[in-house]
Amino acid sequence: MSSYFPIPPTINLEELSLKIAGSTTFLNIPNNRLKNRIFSKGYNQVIYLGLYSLEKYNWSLIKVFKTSPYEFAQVERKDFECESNQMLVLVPQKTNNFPKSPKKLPKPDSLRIDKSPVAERCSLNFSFKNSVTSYQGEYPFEMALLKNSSFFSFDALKQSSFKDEVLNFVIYMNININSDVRDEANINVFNPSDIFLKRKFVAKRNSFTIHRIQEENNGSQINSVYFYTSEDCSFIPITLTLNLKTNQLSAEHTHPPSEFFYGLNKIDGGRLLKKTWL
Amino acid sequence: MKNLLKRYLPQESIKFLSYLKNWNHKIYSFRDDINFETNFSDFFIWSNDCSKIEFVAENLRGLIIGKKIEVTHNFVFFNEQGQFITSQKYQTCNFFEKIVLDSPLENPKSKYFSFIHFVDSKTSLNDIFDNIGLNKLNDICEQNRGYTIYYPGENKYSAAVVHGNFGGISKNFLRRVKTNFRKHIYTPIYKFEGRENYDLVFNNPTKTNLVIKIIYNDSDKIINLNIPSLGTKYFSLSNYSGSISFESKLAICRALIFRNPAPNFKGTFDVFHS
Repeated sequence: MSSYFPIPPTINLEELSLKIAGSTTFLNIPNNRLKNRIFSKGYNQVIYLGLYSLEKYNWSLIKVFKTSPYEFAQVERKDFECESNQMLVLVPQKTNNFPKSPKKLPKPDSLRIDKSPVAERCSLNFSFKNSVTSYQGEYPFEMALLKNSSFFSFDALKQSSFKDEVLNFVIYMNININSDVRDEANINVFNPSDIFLKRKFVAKRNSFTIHRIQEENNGSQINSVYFYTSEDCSFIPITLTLNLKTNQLSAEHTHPPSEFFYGLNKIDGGRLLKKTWL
Repeated sequence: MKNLLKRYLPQESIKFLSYLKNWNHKIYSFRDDINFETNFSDFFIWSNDCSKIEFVAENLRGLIIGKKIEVTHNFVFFNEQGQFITSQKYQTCNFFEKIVLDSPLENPKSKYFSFIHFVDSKTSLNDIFDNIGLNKLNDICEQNRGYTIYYPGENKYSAAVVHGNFGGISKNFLRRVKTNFRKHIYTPIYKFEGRENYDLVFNNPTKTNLVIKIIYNDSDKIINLNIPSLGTKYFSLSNYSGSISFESKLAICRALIFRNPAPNFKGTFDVFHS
């Protein structure tokens, strides 16, 4: 399954006049492969990365990176003129033949060279002062084709806050290959013990929506886990925490609901959970 | 031909043929014992130098029916050599519970070792699926993935979190991850920096001894780790910039990477799956 590699957003900490910066690291090597047989050729594929930004009417190619085998490409959002949550995405291809202003993002090439199990990934990084946090992530091509989808997640990875020492965010990432898809989707927030008290906030398609967890996190409910659902759109949710005293950062995504199950029918298990909570 | 086979062969035969198709890339051994009463747990890493470790555990039974159900979260710890150390239990009815795990060793000698997580309850998943009329939903079982939160220093609110990644170990210690005839090379898409220190931690969820070769792609250096079944080994990496690969008989071999590992009071700690 081929993937897009998004460039994480910049998170503006307005009260501190500081920023958490996003970057992406790519390495030109299939991340899983069979060990070569004797006399077989080594890996020698050049990979081009087309960096696209979502502009007013289309995707726009803003730079092409050429990577030789075992070569890294480091792409930092701050090096480009863009909004902090504007979608910037790397498209890996084996030839340098990227359209300049397409309405649809080109399909990413797969880096696989055999049938080894693999999710094609890069490092998604956030940095603040001298701290960096990374996770191996991607946005699967099939997910960027979805027209109708839904979403169920939770904020159990947030950290307890004490006198505003810890800032917790959930970043909702959505990519659609079609540049016209940029409408809003409602995300419901609720305590699962009281599902009738739902709040809503708006997330954007083809964008990063940065949700700061604070209003849910007050009084006696400081450690309650809240659920987040959408009947309109799917997202990859990334929980990001920052401790302002130590500068410690942490980023991790939550598993999709089907991951609570194992087996051929695990997707049905995921649907069951969505049916209960959506 | 494919359609003809699908039409006339029994379901079990189709599953077996499908398994044989890419047999050298399979992560799990062929099994037909998946049902609502079995489970797959990831194989999580304990770091003894952390001041505190929490685990975010899910209550799948409650999540399915949308009501609180009392469950017991069980944690079973294995030492570096893969021998049972101890177990811990926590009762809760919450949909998700952030559990502070007790240090399993009073006089710790090992820096890293491993544990599994599974759930017991008077209400079985079988009963739940029966009650909601989904008893035909077969070939599915509970997967205990969870999230581990590591506190690298004394600050009670300064931590890094990582999700469960890989394991396939059941509550009765059945190990489903298999080793393959041909070796695979896994390369995390991560740039190691010479000014940082890293611990690369591997555990062995298979039934047999596992040899992992750590390959420095930007030098000639190679390190071998030999890990007993259910055991844990780590390698400390420093003064190296570039990429690293892991060669083993696992279809996919990922380390848990601790960047500037505990004890760390500077905020430069990180943990992630490779």
